[in-house]
Order: sequence, then structure tokens, then C-alpha cells
Amino acid sequence: MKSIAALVAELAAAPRPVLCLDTCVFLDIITTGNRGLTDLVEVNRRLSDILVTTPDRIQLVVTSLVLREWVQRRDDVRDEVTKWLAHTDRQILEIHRAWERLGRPLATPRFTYHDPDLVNRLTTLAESLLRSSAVLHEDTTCVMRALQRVKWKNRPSHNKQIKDSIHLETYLELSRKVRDAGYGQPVIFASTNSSDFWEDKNTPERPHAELVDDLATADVVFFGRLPLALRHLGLLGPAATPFAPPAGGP
Amino acid sequence: MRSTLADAPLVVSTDGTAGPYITVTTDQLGPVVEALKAQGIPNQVDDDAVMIDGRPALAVIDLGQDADVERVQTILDQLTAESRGVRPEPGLPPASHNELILKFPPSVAPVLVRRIEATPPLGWKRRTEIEARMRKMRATRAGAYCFSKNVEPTPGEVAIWLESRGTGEFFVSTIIPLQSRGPLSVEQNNRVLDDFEKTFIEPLMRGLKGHVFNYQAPTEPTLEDVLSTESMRRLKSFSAMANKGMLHPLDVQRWNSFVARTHLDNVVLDTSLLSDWLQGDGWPERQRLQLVDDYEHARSLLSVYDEERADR
Repeated sequence: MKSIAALVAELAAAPRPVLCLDTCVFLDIITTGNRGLTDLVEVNRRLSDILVTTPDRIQLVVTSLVLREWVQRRDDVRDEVTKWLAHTDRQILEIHRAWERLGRPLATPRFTYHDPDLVNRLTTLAESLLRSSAVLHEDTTCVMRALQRVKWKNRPSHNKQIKDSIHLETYLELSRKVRDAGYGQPVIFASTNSSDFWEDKNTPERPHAELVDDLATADVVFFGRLPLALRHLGLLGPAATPFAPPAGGP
Repeated sequence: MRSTLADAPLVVSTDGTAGPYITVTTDQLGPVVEALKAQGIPNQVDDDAVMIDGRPALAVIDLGQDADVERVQTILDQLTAESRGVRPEPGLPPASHNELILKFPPSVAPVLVRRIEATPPLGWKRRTEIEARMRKMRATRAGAYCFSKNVEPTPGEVAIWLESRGTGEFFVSTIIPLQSRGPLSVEQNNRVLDDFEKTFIEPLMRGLKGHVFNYQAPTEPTLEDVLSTESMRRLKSFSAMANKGMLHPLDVQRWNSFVARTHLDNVVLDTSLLSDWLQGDGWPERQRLQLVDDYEHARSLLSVYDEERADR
């Protein structure tokens, strides 16, 4: 773990794009299958391949709270996927049984998908990205700012949850500090938490209107999906156009 | 050999020691086997040589060591000409990354691994330090090899990962530029892959039984890939029953039911996919644009509704 100041010094010495991540980005890797988002597995594998092969290409950043949330919630999402696989197996069994009871058993063998290896490998992939990330210490100033958001019910703490505000305030502070040091590389924040960060649930390329000014002032680009962020950084096919607030402010 | 998943050229390949063979898509398999049978050409089919999303995508027709390659190629050319006669000439396929897969009998694996781990061909360098990093980061077992080469003039030095899959397959999992900060273009990616096939894989497979597949990967996801079965069913039902000139109130009800389902599914839908699908289903441009606009507004309204409910 390191302080914001220490990471700023490292980045200034070896500039590279910065990608700040929310806990849900890592948890999503495990649950992509049962939520119909399997393409995300390939995107995350691609990011991990890039980080293994060229570690100085991009800097992933997480707060220490992301690590704590990962440890707290990892087993729950693993259970969710394990149950989904077991349920799928039961459904396949019923299909075979139905054909057998009709007197026309299926010629294809009954596959079983309830294999812990899938869940383990997805967890390992998520953890490889966490291991590649710079982990930021809890910063008292940022926590106090997050508390202000809770107090005033400002997004992403409009529902009185503080964790998302701690992530956001930490990443905004990191960006302000690197910009003060004359850093020219992009700083991106990616969160798949559509309820708290997105404009609406079908627009992952746009932050919520209440967050636009804070992000723009700190020169942070927001994306609600990891593939959009990686495209913006030129790491994955054609670049996505980030949301640009209208000139002249709200 | 080269294959694309759509309109692949029919070519008799002669690489490897398994004898001449033809790689075909699942659509091409039936007509090609029929044509060979009609001409009395013996063959053996491996109909799931390459699987994509759990389904056979490419098949191999082995012709045997004694096959008359020229005669078979003539039959294939004739088949291609006839096929073009009954359907319009396809346009250029969309630019897409190619994939490279090596398939071989399990008995060949030990020799192949020994060759991979021996000194690489001229120009290629084994990157054991990167492999070690992969083992540390991803707990990868043996069977993941990283090689690099300077591909001039562009994209410069690149790293290629060759990984095993099961007992009878290796595949190129990733190509990463080592110097350039940007990604490889599709053209650069495919050029590097072709070079790897020619200068690394061909010498590697020399004298061994097996097949090399260098084929075009499926392109962007379709609407069917993105939507749930139920959402897709509702959309199809709406489109099939609707008055495409002017929506009837019952059509609007079916459309709303589709939008509500996508919202409950928490789908993030690129509306260009929806627009393309509607166009393919015969919707005139004005109605199509209106529907896409309605979709975006409805999802936005439903998101606000969710928040209002959550606040209570």
C-alpha cells in the first residue's frame, strides 16, 4: 500500500495512463457468466495479458477499501456462480429425463458444468488484476470529503452509503495531485455501479449529471464499463468517445 | 491454410504429414462431402475440429495420403463456381482479427512441446522472464509460452502468447506490441499472425501430424448475444405483429413490454445494434429512428423511477 503522494512521485518518474477501479469491476469478473456478460472475461484477460507482458503500459489503482470489499464479498459472488452452475446442471438433467420418459432418450451425453475450476480461474483472473494494482492508503482528507457527501446526500452517497464516495474522493485527489505535478497522461475512473455513478442504466459512457463537474474539474474521465475505458486508452480496438460536459457548464 | 467463418475459399491443404485435407465451415461441410462422394473421392470427416461457443465452427475433411490433389481442387473450384451462380457475390467481409489454432493427435504433443521449448526459429526470442511473471500473476501452469520478434517496419517488436488447450491443441491467445503504446490494427495483427504461422508454426509442425487453422474470428456481438431469451422473444413478437407503417396501441403495449424486460434484465444495449436489427426486420427508417429514440427515453425514465423507489 502507498500514499497518494508516493504514487504521484512514481507516476511522475514513469508516466503512463492511470485506470482507477471500483470493487464491482473485480467482482463482475466472477459473475459474468450468470449475468450474460461473458465478453467481459476476455476483456479482463486481455488487460491481465497486457499487464503481465508490458507492466509499464498502464497503472491500475485501487483504494485499500476496494481490497477490503473484495475480501468481504468475494465468497458471496463465488457462491452465486456455484449455485448458478448447479442449477444449470439440474435443468439439463430434467431435459434428459423428460426425453427418456418419452421413450426417446437423447443421443448426446449429459454434460455437467458444476466444476469449481471455472469459479477458481475467474477468481484468479480478478486477483491478478488486483495484484497489478497500486493500492492507496486510506487518506483522511478524502474520507472527510466522503463524509460530507453522505451528510449532504450528494452522489454517489445519495443513499447514505460512504464507500463509493471514499473511492471517488481518493481518485479525484490522486488526479488533482498528478495534474499539479504537470502529468499529461489520462486518468480514468471505471465503475460498473450503474445505480450510483451512471447517468442511467443504459448509458455506461456517461457519469451521472451530479458528478460531471467534480470529474471534469479534477480532469478524470469516467466510464461505466471496463471495455469502454480500455478502448479510450487504445488498449482494445477502436477508441470510445468519453462524455464531454457541455461548454459553459450546467 | 486460411479459413474465414463466412464464405471461406475451398482449398486443398498439403501441410503436415496427415495427408491432403480441406478445411470447411459447418455450412460448407454437407455440399463438399456430397461433391466428393459423387466423384468417388474417399474422405474422412472431423466435424468439430474448431469449436466456437461450444458449437462446431470449422470441420476438416481428410483425403488420405493417396488423394489426387489437383482433381479434388478442380471439384472444389467447380462447387465454388456453382455456389456463386445461385447466390449473389458476397461483399468484402468486415475487417476482423484472425485466430490461429494448431490441432494434433495427443501422441504428437510431447514432440511438439520439445520443439517449442528448443531454440526458436531465426528472428524469434523466447521470453522466459515474461512467462515467469505470468505464472506468478495468474498461477498459470506449464503450457503458456511467450515469444517476441521485431516485425519491421511496423508494428516493431511484438510478443505472442502460444498456449495449450487440452491435450491436442495450441492456440495464439494474445499478441501485444512491446514498443508501441497503441494497439495493433487489425491489419497489423493479422500480418504478425501470418508471419508467426509462416516462420514459427510451419517449421514447428514440419513432419508432424496435425492441422493449422488461421481463420477470421467472429466479429461484433449480435442483438441475440446481448439480450436475454425473453427480451428477444418479446422484441420478435412485437416486430412480427406490428403495423410497421403506424403503430397500433397493441403494438405499443408489446414494445413497452420488451423495453421493460430489458430494463429488468439490466441490459446495457448499444442502440445501433437495435437499429440494425429493426432494419433487418423490415422497419422503415422513420419508424426505426423513432423506436430507438423511444427506447433510450424509456430506459432513462425507468432508471429515474428505480431511484425514486429506492429512496422511499
